[in-house]
Amino acid sequence: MTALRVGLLGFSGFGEPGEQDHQSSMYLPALVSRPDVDIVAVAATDPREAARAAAVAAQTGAVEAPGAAALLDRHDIDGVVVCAPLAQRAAVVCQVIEARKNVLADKPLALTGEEVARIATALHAVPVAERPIVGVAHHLRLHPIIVAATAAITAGRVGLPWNLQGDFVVAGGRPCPDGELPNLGVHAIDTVLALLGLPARRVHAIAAGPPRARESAIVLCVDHDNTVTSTISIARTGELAGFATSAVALHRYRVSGSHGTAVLDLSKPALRVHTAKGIATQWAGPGTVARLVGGWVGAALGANGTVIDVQAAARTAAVVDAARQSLRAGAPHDIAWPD
Amino acid sequence: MAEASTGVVSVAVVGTGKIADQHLAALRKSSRARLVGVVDINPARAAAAGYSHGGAPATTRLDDVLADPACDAVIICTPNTTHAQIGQACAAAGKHVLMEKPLATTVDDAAALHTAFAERGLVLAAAHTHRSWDYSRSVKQALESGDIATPRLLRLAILGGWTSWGDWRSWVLDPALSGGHPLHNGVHLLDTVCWWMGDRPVRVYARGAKNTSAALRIDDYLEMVLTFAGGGVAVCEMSRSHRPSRFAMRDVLAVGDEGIIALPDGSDAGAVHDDAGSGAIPAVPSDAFTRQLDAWLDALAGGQPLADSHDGVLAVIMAVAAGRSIDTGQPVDLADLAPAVDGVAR
Repeated sequence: MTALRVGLLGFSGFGEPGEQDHQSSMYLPALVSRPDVDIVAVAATDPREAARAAAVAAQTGAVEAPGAAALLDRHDIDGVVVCAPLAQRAAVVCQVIEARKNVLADKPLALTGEEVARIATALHAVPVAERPIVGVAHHLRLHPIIVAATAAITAGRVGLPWNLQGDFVVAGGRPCPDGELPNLGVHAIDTVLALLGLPARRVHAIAAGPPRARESAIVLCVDHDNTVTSTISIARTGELAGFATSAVALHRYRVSGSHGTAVLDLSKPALRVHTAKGIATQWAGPGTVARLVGGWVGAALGANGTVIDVQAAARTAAVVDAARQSLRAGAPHDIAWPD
Repeated sequence: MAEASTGVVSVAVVGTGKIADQHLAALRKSSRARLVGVVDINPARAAAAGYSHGGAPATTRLDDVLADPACDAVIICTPNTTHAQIGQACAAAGKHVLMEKPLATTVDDAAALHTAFAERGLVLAAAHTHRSWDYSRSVKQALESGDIATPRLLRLAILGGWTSWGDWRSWVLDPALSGGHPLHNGVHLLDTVCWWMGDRPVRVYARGAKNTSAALRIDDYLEMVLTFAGGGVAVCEMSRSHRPSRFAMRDVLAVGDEGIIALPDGSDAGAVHDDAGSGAIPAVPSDAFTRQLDAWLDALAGGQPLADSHDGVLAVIMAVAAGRSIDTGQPVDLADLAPAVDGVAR
């Protein structure tokens, strides 16, 4: 079987380098479970990631490269999973593109639309025949209910949508130091854009919370084309029994259309198990990260596979950028929707 | 005005449409109040209502009940834009009032009503009936328990299809009679979330849509987002435009610093699937109109109604601000609309 030869680059996300490590917690398990993936090399993007890089190298038998340049110089790597610190992420992704390696980047692809545009420019500067695949980890849009609902809505099951309401609430965990818009917000915004398939033109962002933590909840009121509106709430509450720290406690959407209404609860599908220890939910189907990784690996191997591309990242970044402006101004702000 | 502190309160009902039936039913069940008259500008409707409710005297003239010394209090169920004039007449006649929402259709009229009743020592209560329904009281109790700590985000959605507004002849569709949807139904949600949040609203951002027909002169879908002084936010949705037309959904969500309260749609209903399709079998609730009536009667005896005239004025302010926000596409600060009447807006 042909296997995709993968390098893991960076073990960071929001916060200090090494603090948030989706590379180890999310992508590594999905990759090692696949027979069509060989993890060839790992590299830290910051000295504070060194211990994690060493641990993953030891766990997988991969080579521990001394840094990004050394990893990207290798001829035995086809694709790279990038979890560089947010401050460096755009630059690192561009570096991987210039090395002609396929990319799977943790979300957000970058903190601003300008940085996403820089990545897009770097990608389109590569001749088509050599152009690598760049996938972005907006994995929640791959939830099986979202995939099915998107197809149903596209097929006209609710007629013409005129409104969408969404809620995305996480239990516990440290508030994101860069604010929840580029963190939790990107997931919800991307899912809404996937469901509706419509440009977003204007957003009014309203922050909730006490004066010192105004973004413990954010409500985004978005105007789309065709007079369609959406309202998305994003919130982080305290620790909740039955939920791991920073787990999604509530994730749902309602799409109202000219001929019907779709109500989507993303806690399903789920088996509920009641024991003396509490209530747990389980499901045997592949998780969204596994689906994301599978799509990227398939696309990179030239087999059946789809990725969530840079355009998706550009669109969510545009909404996030405008929402930030709206929060500052206390008024609606136009979205510079990328063509 | 007759003393109403301990005896049975004599009540007249003005306006005999659908909502009046709920108030009349509550009166019929009450041992603390008796119906002494019904008023409607339509003589046939007045007569039918009187006949249906124990042969109560029926009249087309408001002055007949206002001049009756045996009438202590009035429940007003007329089209919204008539509330101010009828309310003022009741105050001048020394009658206590339970006013169907909205208190009035302008902020000035609402403030003037509050003042008229306050100056005469009369009770003016607003029929913000959602405070009396079991679901709403459950949410209020859960929030007051402190289990989720400070609520930061509330959601209340009351959605339905075009099932209760009739056709183009419905007075609700005429903004000259209803004041528009934020005032007609929006006040229920605005008042309810304020009551739940227990904080002062400061700003509203609203959007509306005319979904059933572009020729509508009111929005049949409303979304109103309130911001509160302490930083909380409430998203209110009211709809008569959902499809299918038999669609009915009530959804509540509260997210606090330490937890979530959820009352998703269907939480208080069974389900039935038959040859006609699938539907809900709602649990039989407590009678909100009886609870509301009892609280009003308590107020006549010196207690506190569930929603007083301050609440009524505030609801009108929020609704008018929501209408302005829909028109301008911008958020509206409620302070810009608050009446310059001392003590009216809390």
